[in-house]
Amino acid sequence: MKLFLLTVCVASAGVAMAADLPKAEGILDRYVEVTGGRRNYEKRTNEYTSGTVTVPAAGVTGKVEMWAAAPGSRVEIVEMEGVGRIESGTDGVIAWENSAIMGPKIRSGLELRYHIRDALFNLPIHWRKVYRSAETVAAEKVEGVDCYRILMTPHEGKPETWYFDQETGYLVKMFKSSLTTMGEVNGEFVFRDYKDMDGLMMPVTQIQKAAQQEIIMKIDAVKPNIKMSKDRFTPPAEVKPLLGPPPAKKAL
Amino acid sequence: MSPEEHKRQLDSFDHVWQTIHDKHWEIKPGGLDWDTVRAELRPKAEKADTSAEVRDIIRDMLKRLKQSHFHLISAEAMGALNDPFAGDGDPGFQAQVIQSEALVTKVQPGTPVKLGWKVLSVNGTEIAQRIAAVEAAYAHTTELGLRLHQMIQARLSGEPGSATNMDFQDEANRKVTLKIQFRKPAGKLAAFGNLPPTPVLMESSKIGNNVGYVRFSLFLDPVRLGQTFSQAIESCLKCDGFIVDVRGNPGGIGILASGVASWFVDQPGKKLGAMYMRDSTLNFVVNPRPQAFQGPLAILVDEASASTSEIFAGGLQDMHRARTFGSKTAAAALPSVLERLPNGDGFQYAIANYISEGGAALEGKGVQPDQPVQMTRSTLLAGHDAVVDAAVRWIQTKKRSSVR
Repeated sequence: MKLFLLTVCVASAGVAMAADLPKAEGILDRYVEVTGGRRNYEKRTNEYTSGTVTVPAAGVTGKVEMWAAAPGSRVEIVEMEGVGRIESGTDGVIAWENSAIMGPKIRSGLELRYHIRDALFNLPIHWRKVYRSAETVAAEKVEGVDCYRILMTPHEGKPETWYFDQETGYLVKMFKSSLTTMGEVNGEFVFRDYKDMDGLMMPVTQIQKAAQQEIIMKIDAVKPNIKMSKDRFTPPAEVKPLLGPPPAKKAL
Repeated sequence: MSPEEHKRQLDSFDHVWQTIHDKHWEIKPGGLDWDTVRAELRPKAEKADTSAEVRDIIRDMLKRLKQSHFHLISAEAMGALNDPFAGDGDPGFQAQVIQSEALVTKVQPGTPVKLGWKVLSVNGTEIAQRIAAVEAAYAHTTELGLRLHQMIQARLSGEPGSATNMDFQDEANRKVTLKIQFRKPAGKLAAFGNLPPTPVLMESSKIGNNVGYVRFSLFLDPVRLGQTFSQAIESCLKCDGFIVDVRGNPGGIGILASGVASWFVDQPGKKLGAMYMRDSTLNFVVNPRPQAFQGPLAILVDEASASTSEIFAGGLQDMHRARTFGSKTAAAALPSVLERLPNGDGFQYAIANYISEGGAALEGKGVQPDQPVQMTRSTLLAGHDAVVDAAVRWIQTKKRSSVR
């Protein structure tokens, strides 16, 4: 009986707390506002990003380049000493990867859908295409700042937890599971050092912790609306043999 | 035991307990309530009168895990195992400890040393004594074979251009003294993160024009390793079989096991095994290459094939894609750490568990070869690598059975 009462009390406290919190939609809208505004997002149809990537515990460093375009194409190339080139991408229909370590691969099933989803361009203004609900569940201190904790539930896949700085409105941290070639990996992402990158405020330091490893990415430059060939998102030569022959043309 | 020594021993106990508490892949290490283990054993360590008693208590704590790769190595044994590498020069031959004797197992052209010769001493150090010291220290661990391999490699190392006196026992059991000149390392230097640049030897050839053969000394330098396999397989697509030799290969980049396996797997959805950590499970998935070799595959292993080599050989064995030849591997598949405790002892622990595709933990068990083959002094003196010979015979058998 005592246990039952305790459970009710805790549940009631939770409801009362959530009721006092701002709506998640408002927090997400504010994020768009403080990072540059909807119009600035809409103006961007593609972007090129370059930076560095470090795995401090292993002492591995490298360069990263990313090309992304609306509505959902993306290619990422990482070059690391001792590891070689790791490239992955999607044109919105197929998703692939190729690396010196693992060789070429075409993604399929849930892994394919995850990668297409994660490539959605301008996610902050299109989040409803990926997530069916957003709910503010708590206010708490994260990474030394007062944050709102938001539960983001995607149309497919596990719910994610996002933390927004109450004062600045910036996204500070995220817990999210990713489907990689090696399986589902639960990751913690920390976003720091927001800077104006040609019209939009972006976190130029991103720290990812997953599978007992920490990876730090530093963004050097973001170039929006550049001339970008459609071929930019076609798979590299090593991957193409895995796509199989093109469908035969039907006789008229 | 002085108060200072007692403190060092207790600090060592605490370090071991805390490390397992924080880093073991199970929240309840070995299924145990780890706080209860501490509550029972810490007071005993506090009351201990000698260093040996505290060591026994720490060993008792580790033994309760019933898992390999958790060892306490006494400071005395650690000191006795001091076999530092003198440089990455190549003496022109390789030796291996076989049945407590250091035998020459591979020679390069131009070296005066012959296959099957026994290495008696290097620069005045009796090798038999070194073998005995390592055997005594690691007798109760799963790492004996690997440590013997590391000792002999260290003793046979030197700076390129330098020379050292070595005594051998030749084919007629005569003592032969030679001044061995160290050459430039045979492999190319490969860098990976914090590791110092390390020479990685990769060689490919054909045995009798119809069996492909690739040997590499470390799972490093994926770009060059990929090129080596790509060229070897392209020139051998119609070969009767293929041999991958990971004897003496201590591992390297873990996931490269999947990358090398991908040259021999043509079906998607296969994996070598999985590594379990507290927060995630990493599957060692194999992405099939478009031009994968599909014929019989033999993998050669020995007690110095460790870590990534075991993941590679064990996974393909479990997948029934390869037949393994040689001797049991090092049983050291897990990422493990050996660190010094405040009392000077060595403490080895693992931070993840690895289960091969067949469902067995490689850790502490190693890969049992499908066909055990031991090199002996007599076969070596006759100029034969018995393990390669056995693999070639099997490939020829497979060819004959497929022709019938």
